[in-house]
Amino acid sequence: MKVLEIGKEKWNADALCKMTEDEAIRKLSKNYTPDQIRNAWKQANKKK
Amino acid sequence: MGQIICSCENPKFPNLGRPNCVIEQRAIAFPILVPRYKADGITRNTVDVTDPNIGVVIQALLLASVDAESRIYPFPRCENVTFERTDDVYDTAASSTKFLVPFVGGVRTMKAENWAKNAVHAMLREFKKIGCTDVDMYLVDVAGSLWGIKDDINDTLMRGYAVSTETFVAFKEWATDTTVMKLMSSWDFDRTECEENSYAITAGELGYKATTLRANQQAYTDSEALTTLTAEVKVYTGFGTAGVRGKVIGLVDANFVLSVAGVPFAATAVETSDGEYTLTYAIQVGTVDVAVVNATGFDVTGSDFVAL
Repeated sequence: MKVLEIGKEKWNADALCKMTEDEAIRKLSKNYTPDQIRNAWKQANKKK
Repeated sequence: MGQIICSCENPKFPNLGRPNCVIEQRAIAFPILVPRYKADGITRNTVDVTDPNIGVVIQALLLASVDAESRIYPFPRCENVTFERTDDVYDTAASSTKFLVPFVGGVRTMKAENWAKNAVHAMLREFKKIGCTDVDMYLVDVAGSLWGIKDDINDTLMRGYAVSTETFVAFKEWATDTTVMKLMSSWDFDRTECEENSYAITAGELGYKATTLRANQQAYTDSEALTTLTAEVKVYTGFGTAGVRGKVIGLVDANFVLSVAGVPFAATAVETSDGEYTLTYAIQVGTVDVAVVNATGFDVTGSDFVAL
């Protein structure tokens, strides 16, 4: 599993790559802001 | 088969009178499989026929929360249920006088068919689980009575008919231009089973028709950590198409039990799309075990993920 470290948070880059940006925001909005999620999603997809 | 116990000093002869009202066994609607012994390998699975709440007790045995080796597993409604019996064996002398060879032959084979929706491949995959562990079977007749065996008239515990598990077979019958898909199964009863010891718990005594007893669906989970504080758990069944699995929807916080090394921790669950749940929790270290509990109508196999 590819892991992104952004600040203190770790993100599962492989899982983020399988989602659309909207899907990632929908699934993670309880704990993160849309901007945080967008940033992580873009970084995950850059690493593809 | 039953034994004829001869006592020459105290011979017995049949009293074949009967009362006006008796309980007939009707055509069998479906069997209910039950592991022969509980997890201890010693205690036979039975039902207490004197329990005033027998109907509720039997319904409770369906729940996935009951230990797998104490639970009951109804079949779907069956078609064309038959009970064939092999011929008895006789030793015939040259004079043509025949002598029955007792306890040889007379083997009972039960055959059942499941048609159409009850015969889909996901069901056949479940049937393939039968055969490793010894089982008994209760029988539900079309009148809604639940039939089993009491080895003695004074017994308060009723068990299922003992099945010769080694003879169980289930296979697919393909659909044709004039027939639907079928699932064919058969098994022998244990050769020592005494059918004359059949007893019924009637629909009236249960408080419902036993034909209403329904099995759980098998379900599965895939889980993975998404972030340090969240994981996604997908809960699905073996039904559906090659690309789209059946979904288990409507689960809530209380249905998910997350733990590390056997120690549970709190998590909240949000269903973000059908059958897909985002779980949120405090930071964890190590492998997280995911169990789905109390999902009515489902027996869910858990999974695990490595926390981020």
